[in-house]
Amino acid sequence: MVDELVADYLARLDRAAQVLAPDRRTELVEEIRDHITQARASGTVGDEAAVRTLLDRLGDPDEIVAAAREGEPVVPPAPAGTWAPPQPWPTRRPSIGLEIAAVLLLTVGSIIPLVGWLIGVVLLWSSRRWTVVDKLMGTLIVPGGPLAIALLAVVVPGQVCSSASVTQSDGSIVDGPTTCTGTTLGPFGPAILVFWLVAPFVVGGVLLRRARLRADREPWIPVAPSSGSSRWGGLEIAAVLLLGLGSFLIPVVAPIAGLVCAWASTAWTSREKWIATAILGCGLLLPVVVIVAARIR
Amino acid sequence: MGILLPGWLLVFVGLPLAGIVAALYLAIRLNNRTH
Repeated sequence: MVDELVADYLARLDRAAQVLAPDRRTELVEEIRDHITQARASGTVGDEAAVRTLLDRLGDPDEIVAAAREGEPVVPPAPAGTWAPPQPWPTRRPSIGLEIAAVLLLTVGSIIPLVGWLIGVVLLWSSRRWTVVDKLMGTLIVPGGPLAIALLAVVVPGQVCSSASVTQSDGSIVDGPTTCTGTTLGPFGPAILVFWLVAPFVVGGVLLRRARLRADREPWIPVAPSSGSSRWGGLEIAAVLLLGLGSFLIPVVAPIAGLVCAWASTAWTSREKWIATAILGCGLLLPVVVIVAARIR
Repeated sequence: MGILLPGWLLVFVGLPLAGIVAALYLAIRLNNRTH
Protein backbone atom coordinates (compact mmCIF):
# COMPACT_ATOMS: atom_id res chain seq x y z
CA MET A 1 0.00 0.00 0.00
CA VAL A 2 2.81 2.35 0.94
CA ASP A 3 4.63 1.58 -2.29
CA GLU A 4 1.45 2.23 -4.26
CA LEU A 5 1.02 5.59 -2.58
CA VAL A 6 4.56 6.62 -3.52
CA ALA A 7 4.23 5.26 -7.06
CA ASP A 8 0.94 7.09 -7.55
CA TYR A 9 2.47 10.35 -6.28
CA LEU A 10 5.49 10.03 -8.55
CA ALA A 11 3.25 9.17 -11.52
CA ARG A 12 1.19 12.32 -10.89
CA LEU A 13 4.39 14.34 -10.61
CA ASP A 14 5.68 12.84 -13.84
CA ARG A 15 2.43 13.73 -15.64
CA ALA A 16 2.46 17.27 -14.25
CA ALA A 17 6.11 17.66 -15.29
CA GLN A 18 5.29 17.04 -18.94
CA VAL A 19 5.35 20.80 -19.42
CA LEU A 20 9.06 20.85 -18.55
CA ALA A 21 11.98 20.05 -20.81
CA PRO A 22 12.66 16.27 -20.90
CA ASP A 23 15.96 16.57 -18.99
CA ARG A 24 14.47 18.82 -16.35
CA ARG A 25 11.44 16.56 -16.03
CA THR A 26 13.62 13.49 -15.38
CA GLU A 27 15.78 15.45 -12.99
CA LEU A 28 12.80 16.73 -11.00
CA VAL A 29 11.13 13.33 -10.64
CA GLU A 30 14.45 11.72 -9.64
CA GLU A 31 15.07 14.47 -7.10
CA ILE A 32 11.72 13.93 -5.40
CA ARG A 33 12.10 10.15 -5.63
CA ASP A 34 15.47 10.45 -3.87
CA HIS A 35 13.97 12.52 -1.06
CA ILE A 36 11.22 9.96 -0.51
CA THR A 37 13.71 7.08 -0.60
CA GLN A 38 15.98 8.82 1.90
CA ALA A 39 13.06 9.53 4.22
CA ARG A 40 11.91 5.93 4.13
CA ALA A 41 15.43 4.58 4.51
CA SER A 42 15.93 6.65 7.66
CA GLY A 43 13.16 4.66 9.35
CA THR A 44 11.20 7.72 10.50
CA VAL A 45 8.71 7.33 7.65
CA GLY A 46 7.60 3.75 7.79
CA ASP A 47 3.83 3.29 7.98
CA GLU A 48 1.14 4.53 5.65
CA ALA A 49 0.18 7.52 7.77
CA ALA A 50 3.78 8.74 7.88
CA VAL A 51 4.13 8.36 4.13
CA ARG A 52 0.91 10.33 3.56
CA THR A 53 2.26 13.07 5.83
CA LEU A 54 5.54 13.06 3.94
CA LEU A 55 3.79 13.37 0.57
CA ASP A 56 1.56 16.16 1.90
CA ARG A 57 4.60 18.04 3.08
CA LEU A 58 6.31 17.61 -0.25
CA GLY A 59 3.34 19.37 -1.76
CA ASP A 60 1.03 18.96 -4.68
CA PRO A 61 2.83 17.78 -7.84
CA ASP A 62 1.38 20.72 -9.78
CA GLU A 63 2.85 23.15 -7.26
CA ILE A 64 6.25 21.47 -7.40
CA VAL A 65 6.24 21.71 -11.19
CA ALA A 66 5.12 25.35 -11.03
CA ALA A 67 8.07 26.13 -8.73
CA ALA A 68 10.42 24.29 -11.08
CA ARG A 69 9.12 26.32 -14.03
CA GLU A 70 10.13 29.48 -12.24
CA GLY A 71 13.71 28.23 -12.37
CA GLU A 72 14.03 27.80 -8.66
CA PRO A 73 15.71 24.74 -7.18
CA VAL A 74 13.11 22.47 -5.71
CA VAL A 75 13.95 21.85 -2.08
CA PRO A 76 11.00 20.19 -0.40
CA PRO A 77 10.39 21.03 3.24
CA ALA A 78 11.68 18.47 5.69
CA PRO A 79 8.94 16.57 7.49
CA ALA A 80 9.05 15.78 11.18
CA GLY A 81 12.03 13.61 11.97
CA THR A 82 15.69 13.81 11.16
CA TRP A 83 15.85 12.40 7.64
CA ALA A 84 16.93 15.63 5.99
CA PRO A 85 18.95 18.47 7.46
CA PRO A 86 17.38 21.89 7.70
CA GLN A 87 18.70 24.20 5.00
CA PRO A 88 19.44 27.60 6.49
CA TRP A 89 21.92 28.37 3.70
CA PRO A 90 21.40 28.86 -0.01
CA THR A 91 22.06 25.84 -2.19
CA ARG A 92 23.93 25.51 -5.43
CA ARG A 93 23.94 23.15 -8.37
CA PRO A 94 26.66 20.44 -8.12
CA SER A 95 29.53 21.33 -10.42
CA ILE A 96 31.41 18.99 -12.76
CA GLY A 97 34.82 20.70 -12.71
CA LEU A 98 36.71 17.44 -12.23
CA GLU A 99 34.90 15.84 -15.14
CA ILE A 100 35.59 18.85 -17.40
CA ALA A 101 39.29 18.74 -16.46
CA ALA A 102 39.38 14.98 -17.16
CA VAL A 103 37.84 15.31 -20.62
CA LEU A 104 40.10 18.26 -21.50
CA LEU A 105 43.17 16.25 -20.54
CA LEU A 106 41.98 13.13 -22.38
CA THR A 107 41.52 15.13 -25.58
CA VAL A 108 43.44 18.41 -25.83
CA GLY A 109 45.84 17.32 -23.06
CA SER A 110 47.21 14.56 -25.26
CA ILE A 111 49.30 17.26 -26.94
CA ILE A 112 51.72 16.48 -24.13
CA PRO A 113 52.75 12.96 -25.10
CA LEU A 114 51.37 10.32 -22.79
CA VAL A 115 51.59 12.41 -19.61
CA GLY A 116 48.63 14.71 -20.34
CA TRP A 117 46.45 11.77 -21.35
CA LEU A 118 47.55 9.71 -18.31
CA ILE A 119 46.55 12.49 -15.91
CA GLY A 120 43.19 12.58 -17.70
CA VAL A 121 42.79 8.84 -17.12
CA VAL A 122 43.55 9.24 -13.41
CA LEU A 123 40.92 12.00 -13.12
CA LEU A 124 38.47 9.94 -15.21
CA TRP A 125 38.73 6.97 -12.87
CA SER A 126 38.62 9.14 -9.74
CA SER A 127 35.21 10.61 -10.68
CA ARG A 128 32.13 9.06 -9.11
CA ARG A 129 29.81 10.36 -11.78
CA TRP A 130 30.84 7.86 -14.44
CA THR A 131 30.14 4.13 -14.50
CA VAL A 132 32.86 1.57 -15.15
CA VAL A 133 31.60 1.30 -18.74
CA ASP A 134 31.95 5.08 -19.16
CA LYS A 135 35.47 4.94 -17.73
CA LEU A 136 36.49 2.05 -19.95
CA MET A 137 35.10 3.90 -22.96
CA GLY A 138 37.03 7.06 -22.03
CA THR A 139 40.22 5.07 -21.53
CA LEU A 140 40.06 2.82 -24.58
CA ILE A 141 38.82 5.37 -27.14
CA VAL A 142 41.59 5.99 -27.88
CA PRO A 143 44.66 5.11 -25.79
CA GLY A 144 47.08 8.02 -25.78
CA GLY A 145 44.44 10.52 -26.87
CA PRO A 146 43.76 12.00 -30.30
CA LEU A 147 46.98 13.95 -30.59
CA ALA A 148 49.12 10.88 -29.88
CA ILE A 149 48.79 10.17 -33.59
CA ALA A 150 51.17 13.06 -34.21
CA LEU A 151 53.74 11.44 -31.94
CA LEU A 152 53.19 8.10 -33.65
CA ALA A 153 53.82 9.71 -37.02
CA VAL A 154 57.18 10.96 -35.78
CA VAL A 155 58.23 7.72 -34.10
CA VAL A 156 56.98 5.28 -36.74
CA PRO A 157 58.23 6.14 -40.28
CA GLY A 158 55.75 6.00 -43.11
CA GLN A 159 56.05 3.44 -45.85
CA VAL A 160 58.51 4.20 -48.65
CA CYS A 161 58.74 1.86 -51.66
CA SER A 162 61.38 1.75 -54.36
CA SER A 163 62.38 -0.46 -57.20
CA ALA A 164 65.62 -0.60 -59.16
CA SER A 165 65.90 -1.26 -62.89
CA VAL A 166 67.60 -4.51 -63.83
CA THR A 167 69.49 -5.10 -67.12
CA GLN A 168 68.83 -8.62 -68.40
CA SER A 169 71.24 -10.84 -70.39
CA ASP A 170 69.60 -9.86 -73.73
CA GLY A 171 70.19 -6.19 -73.00
CA SER A 172 66.62 -5.27 -72.14
CA ILE A 173 65.90 -3.25 -69.03
CA VAL A 174 63.05 -4.26 -66.74
CA ASP A 175 61.85 -3.09 -63.33
CA GLY A 176 63.31 -5.09 -60.50
CA PRO A 177 61.45 -6.22 -57.37
CA THR A 178 59.84 -3.46 -55.33
CA THR A 179 61.13 -3.14 -51.79
CA CYS A 180 59.24 -1.22 -49.12
CA THR A 181 60.43 0.10 -45.77
CA GLY A 182 58.41 1.54 -42.90
CA THR A 183 54.82 0.77 -41.98
CA THR A 184 51.41 1.49 -43.42
CA LEU A 185 47.91 1.39 -42.00
CA GLY A 186 46.65 -0.37 -45.09
CA PRO A 187 43.57 0.55 -47.14
CA PHE A 188 41.70 1.67 -44.03
CA GLY A 189 44.46 4.11 -43.07
CA PRO A 190 42.47 7.33 -43.66
CA ALA A 191 39.44 5.94 -41.80
CA ILE A 192 41.62 4.88 -38.86
CA LEU A 193 43.23 8.31 -38.74
CA VAL A 194 39.88 10.11 -38.75
CA PHE A 195 38.54 7.77 -36.04
CA TRP A 196 41.67 8.31 -33.95
CA LEU A 197 41.37 12.09 -34.18
CA VAL A 198 37.60 12.47 -33.87
CA ALA A 199 36.37 9.62 -31.64
CA PRO A 200 37.98 10.87 -28.38
CA PHE A 201 36.24 14.24 -28.78
CA VAL A 202 32.89 12.52 -29.42
CA VAL A 203 33.38 10.25 -26.40
CA GLY A 204 34.43 13.28 -24.34
CA GLY A 205 31.19 15.04 -25.27
CA VAL A 206 29.12 11.98 -24.35
CA LEU A 207 30.96 11.63 -21.02
CA LEU A 208 30.44 15.30 -20.16
CA ARG A 209 26.74 15.08 -20.94
CA ARG A 210 26.33 12.00 -18.75
CA ALA A 211 28.28 13.65 -15.92
CA ARG A 212 26.08 16.75 -16.16
CA LEU A 213 22.88 14.72 -16.08
CA ARG A 214 24.05 12.68 -13.11
CA ALA A 215 25.27 15.77 -11.26
CA ASP A 216 21.90 17.42 -11.82
CA ARG A 217 20.17 14.51 -10.14
CA GLU A 218 22.28 14.98 -7.01
CA PRO A 219 20.84 17.08 -4.20
CA TRP A 220 21.81 20.71 -4.35
CA ILE A 221 24.72 21.47 -2.08
CA PRO A 222 24.25 23.89 0.82
CA VAL A 223 26.68 26.79 0.61
CA ALA A 224 27.75 28.33 3.88
CA PRO A 225 28.40 32.02 3.17
CA SER A 226 31.22 32.26 5.68
CA SER A 227 33.14 29.11 4.80
CA GLY A 228 34.20 29.82 1.23
CA SER A 229 32.90 28.21 -1.89
CA SER A 230 34.49 24.75 -1.41
CA ARG A 231 33.69 23.68 -4.93
CA TRP A 232 34.98 23.56 -8.48
CA GLY A 233 34.99 26.91 -10.22
CA GLY A 234 37.06 28.69 -12.84
CA LEU A 235 39.85 29.45 -10.38
CA GLU A 236 40.10 25.85 -9.21
CA ILE A 237 40.12 24.44 -12.75
CA ALA A 238 42.77 27.02 -13.72
CA ALA A 239 44.93 26.04 -10.73
CA VAL A 240 44.80 22.33 -11.56
CA LEU A 241 45.40 22.81 -15.29
CA LEU A 242 48.25 25.26 -14.80
CA LEU A 243 49.94 22.99 -12.27
CA GLY A 244 49.35 19.76 -14.18
CA LEU A 245 49.65 20.81 -17.80
CA GLY A 246 51.15 24.28 -17.75
CA SER A 247 54.46 23.03 -16.39
CA PHE A 248 55.10 21.35 -19.74
CA LEU A 249 53.96 24.24 -21.89
CA ILE A 250 55.28 27.24 -19.97
CA PRO A 251 57.95 25.98 -17.57
CA VAL A 252 58.27 27.74 -14.21
CA VAL A 253 55.71 30.48 -14.99
CA ALA A 254 52.66 28.21 -15.32
CA PRO A 255 53.15 26.18 -12.12
CA ILE A 256 53.75 29.36 -10.15
CA ALA A 257 50.59 30.86 -11.66
CA GLY A 258 48.80 27.62 -10.72
CA LEU A 259 49.95 27.97 -7.14
CA VAL A 260 48.78 31.59 -7.09
CA CYS A 261 45.34 30.45 -8.31
CA ALA A 262 45.26 27.72 -5.66
CA TRP A 263 46.14 30.16 -2.90
CA ALA A 264 43.59 32.68 -4.21
CA SER A 265 40.86 30.04 -4.12
CA THR A 266 38.77 29.48 -1.02
CA ALA A 267 37.96 25.90 -2.06
CA TRP A 268 41.06 24.42 -0.46
CA THR A 269 42.16 24.63 3.15
CA SER A 270 45.45 26.27 4.08
CA ARG A 271 46.83 22.83 4.90
CA GLU A 272 46.05 21.53 1.41
CA LYS A 273 47.59 24.62 -0.16
CA TRP A 274 50.76 24.20 1.89
CA ILE A 275 50.99 20.52 0.93
CA ALA A 276 50.65 21.40 -2.78
CA THR A 277 53.29 24.10 -2.37
CA ALA A 278 55.59 21.65 -0.62
CA ILE A 279 55.11 19.07 -3.40
CA LEU A 280 56.12 21.67 -5.97
CA GLY A 281 59.08 22.66 -3.78
CA CYS A 282 60.19 19.01 -3.67
CA GLY A 283 60.04 18.97 -7.47
CA LEU A 284 62.45 21.89 -7.51
CA LEU A 285 64.79 20.34 -4.98
CA LEU A 286 64.76 16.76 -6.22
CA PRO A 287 66.98 17.26 -9.30
CA VAL A 288 69.43 19.26 -7.20
CA VAL A 289 69.60 16.45 -4.64
CA VAL A 290 70.08 13.88 -7.40
CA ILE A 291 72.95 15.84 -8.95
CA VAL A 292 74.64 16.52 -5.61
CA ALA A 293 74.33 12.87 -4.62
CA ALA A 294 75.80 11.75 -7.94
CA ARG A 295 78.80 14.08 -7.58
CA ILE A 296 79.50 13.00 -4.01
CA ARG A 297 79.48 9.38 -5.10
CA MET B 1 77.22 20.60 -19.16
CA GLY B 2 77.83 20.08 -15.48
CA ILE B 3 76.21 23.42 -14.76
CA LEU B 4 73.45 23.20 -17.35
CA LEU B 5 72.24 19.72 -16.43
CA PRO B 6 70.75 20.54 -13.00
CA GLY B 7 68.91 23.54 -14.41
CA TRP B 8 67.58 21.51 -17.31
CA LEU B 9 66.42 18.72 -15.02
CA LEU B 10 64.90 21.25 -12.66
CA VAL B 11 62.80 23.01 -15.29
CA PHE B 12 61.82 20.18 -17.60
CA VAL B 13 61.62 17.17 -15.33
CA GLY B 14 61.36 17.97 -11.64
CA LEU B 15 58.94 20.87 -11.82
CA PRO B 16 56.48 19.33 -14.30
CA LEU B 17 56.36 16.05 -12.38
CA ALA B 18 55.84 17.88 -9.11
CA GLY B 19 53.19 20.03 -10.80
CA ILE B 20 51.28 16.92 -11.87
CA VAL B 21 51.41 15.46 -8.37
CA ALA B 22 50.29 18.76 -6.82
CA ALA B 23 47.48 19.14 -9.36
CA LEU B 24 46.23 15.59 -8.76
CA TYR B 25 46.40 16.09 -5.00
CA LEU B 26 44.34 19.31 -5.13
CA ALA B 27 41.87 17.87 -7.65
CA ILE B 28 41.20 14.70 -5.68
CA ARG B 29 40.93 16.55 -2.36
CA LEU B 30 38.41 18.99 -3.78
CA ASN B 31 36.52 16.27 -5.60
CA ASN B 32 36.15 14.19 -2.44
CA ARG B 33 34.81 17.21 -0.58
CA THR B 34 32.21 18.15 -3.18
CA HIS B 35 30.55 14.71 -3.12
